[in-house]
Amino acid sequence: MAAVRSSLTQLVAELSSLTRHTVRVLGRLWAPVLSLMLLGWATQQLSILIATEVSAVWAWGVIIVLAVGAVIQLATVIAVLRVVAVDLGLPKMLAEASTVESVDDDRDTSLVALLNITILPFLAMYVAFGYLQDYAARLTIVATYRKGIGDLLGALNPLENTTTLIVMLVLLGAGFIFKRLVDPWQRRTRHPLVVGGIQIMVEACLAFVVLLGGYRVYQSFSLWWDSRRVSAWLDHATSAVLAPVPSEVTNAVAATWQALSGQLWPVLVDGLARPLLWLAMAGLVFGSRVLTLADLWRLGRPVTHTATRREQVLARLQSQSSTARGVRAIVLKAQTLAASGIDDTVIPAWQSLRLVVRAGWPFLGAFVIGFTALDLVGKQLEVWVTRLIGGQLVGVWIKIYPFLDLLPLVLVMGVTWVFLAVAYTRALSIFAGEAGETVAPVLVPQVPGVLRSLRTSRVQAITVILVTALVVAGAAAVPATPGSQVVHASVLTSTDLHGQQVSVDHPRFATAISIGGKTVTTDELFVIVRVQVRNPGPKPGSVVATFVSGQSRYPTWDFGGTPTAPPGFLVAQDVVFEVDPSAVTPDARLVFSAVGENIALHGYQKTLEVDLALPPGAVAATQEVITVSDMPERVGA
Amino acid sequence: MTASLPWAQRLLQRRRELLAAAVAIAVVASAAWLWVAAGDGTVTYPTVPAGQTHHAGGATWTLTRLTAVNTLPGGTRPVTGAVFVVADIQADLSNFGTDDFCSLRLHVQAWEFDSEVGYLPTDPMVRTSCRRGDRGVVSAAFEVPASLLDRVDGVVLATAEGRATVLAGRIG
Repeated sequence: MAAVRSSLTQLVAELSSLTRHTVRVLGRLWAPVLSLMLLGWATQQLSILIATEVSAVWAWGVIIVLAVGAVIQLATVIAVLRVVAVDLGLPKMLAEASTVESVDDDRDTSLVALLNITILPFLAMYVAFGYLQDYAARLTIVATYRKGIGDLLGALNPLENTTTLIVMLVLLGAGFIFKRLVDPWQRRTRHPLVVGGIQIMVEACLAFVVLLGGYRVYQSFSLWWDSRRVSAWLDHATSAVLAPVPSEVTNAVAATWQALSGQLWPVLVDGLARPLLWLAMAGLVFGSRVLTLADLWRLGRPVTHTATRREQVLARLQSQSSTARGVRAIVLKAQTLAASGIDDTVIPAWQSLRLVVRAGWPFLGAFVIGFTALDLVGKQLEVWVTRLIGGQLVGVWIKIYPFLDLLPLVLVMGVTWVFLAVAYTRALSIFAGEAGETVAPVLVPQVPGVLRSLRTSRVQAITVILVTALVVAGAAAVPATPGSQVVHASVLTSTDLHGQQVSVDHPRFATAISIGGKTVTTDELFVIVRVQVRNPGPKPGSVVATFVSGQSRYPTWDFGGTPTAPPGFLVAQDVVFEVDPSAVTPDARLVFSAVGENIALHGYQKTLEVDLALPPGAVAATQEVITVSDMPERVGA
Repeated sequence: MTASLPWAQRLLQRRRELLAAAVAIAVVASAAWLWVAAGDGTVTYPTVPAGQTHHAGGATWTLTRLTAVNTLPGGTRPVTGAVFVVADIQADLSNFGTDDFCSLRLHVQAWEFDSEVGYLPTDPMVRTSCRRGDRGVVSAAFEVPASLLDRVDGVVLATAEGRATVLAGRIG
């Protein structure tokens, strides 16, 4: 118990320290942080605006605009991380700790050099956690709304036409070669900033090409695989092997797998991996001394001369290439060239991640909890503000999207980046503390003994993991979307639904309906409801109805749909649902949503729920045949 | 001195200028977005003045008459609170496009109304569709709320080629 109590004390102390330092840093640096986040926000909105106009003229131009927007936004993020690190005194601490002669790092003198190193890992992170997809999706929504473009991304789908595929492959190949060629040139040129800037833009464009094209390829392969016979054979084979197993067992296994893959895995990836990976990425920003670097975390431990596997491979390549001749020399050079790109970006990112996870359980737990709390607060703030504004049609949301984005992109992300920088500095301070008297760590919690976070115990690990997992799981369980604004009404009551007045008559039931002289029967039950919609104009409007009973939802039956009212008119229509008779219960209701200006786009909007007030046994009133009209009927203006 | 400092420190030293620049750019971005968004949902058409001839799709079109009636040929009556507006357009479709597509909608300021299906003019020479080679009157009927009658300002003509255009006219 004492060990558990001590673990919890350390966890709380770390969390308190991270929170306190974050607040202090924000107090000192609110102006530069706010400035940089505002620049990132403005860049995103302007890029979406420009890309919308460009998309109508040249689809490929969208990639360039989005790439420029992404690079500028990343630059502001990196600037925030770097500024916080400088404010906390991190460069000085690293200078004291490094056993290597001080080397001027381009990251200190040039934002472009820093971007060059960090752009790919950061973009990869953005893709992995959906940020770039959200960016592209926002553009698609706005372009569809404003330009009526049916499928903006279809123009960039390599599977829709061969030319697009060839262009994408050529771009990817050319981009790879460009990077290999420009690296040595950048060191020799008199304009390294310009060359570096071009290189960054090329890499960002390629990242979007991969994002937009590669996803389509993956999606198509997945669909193709599912339609192959071998996929069906595998399913049959699996069923045959599992046939002797009792169905209760297979159902339990399936349910467990569903819970693991559908619920637990996303929580693990989003709740645990995301903050740790972001923290590791932050390390890339803080300078090469951090990552030459095993220096730092090996201080206080015996230093071994065991090279990493990567170092061994590279050494072997170099040794072999120095003696190779002919084709083999070319092949080895190509291998080294390919590997050097990974060395510049992937290896440092991997090193940074390894450093972070060795900072001790209390620190890791505190960081993940803090990150999760920030994320939760940010999402809930968005939900509350959305609900405060109330349900609106998509046109209103598109107008105010940028201003709503101030909350997540400026306020929440600003605090989050500062928190990340503080956390990484704390991780480094933990190692610096282990180095002994030579290095003064810059961030130290107030509870004695926490400095020894590097010394783990099983109890400490289990305690921290349990508490962290509970917090992450709890945060994941909190709804993060506002749903819709539900308005309740009863039959024969005219109720506003985004400007249209909707009223519903008492439902009728039949086993057959007569439409246009033809009789249609059902094995279930037809529910016929007379719906009236008044549209005050000036735009046409229509509503979509769904019959809901418990967990069952039934769309309108095949014909007609729901009434579309021309502007200025009142229309009435028989709306038909084919339902299971057991769904006709007292809690059955009709749910209406307005289609709005665009049939495919929706925001947070009102939903009208009409209680049908069905008495128990209402199906006893089922008629044999009911004649229904198959067209909306104008009944007034 | 400043230039030799790492760029991050230079940023920290010029925080006021940075904030001012960021706020200015944010204001510009907001203004740009709101300016573009002001046009959302509004459709504008080029307008041909009343009585003038419009060329579209290889044909010529002139709005000659807009009339409000209470009953269409065949006895069709509007719903309570509405009237019919009949539009006659003098059209020369000798060189009209091969797909015979044309669409007529009644333009009432921000409102638009589709033509009535099943409308048949009394005069058999008057058409209700656009057929290549025809020369004469193309007519369409629209059911509109009576309260909007004095705001009718023309007919929106759309063909397969070119942009939809308003042929201006008033009820008279």
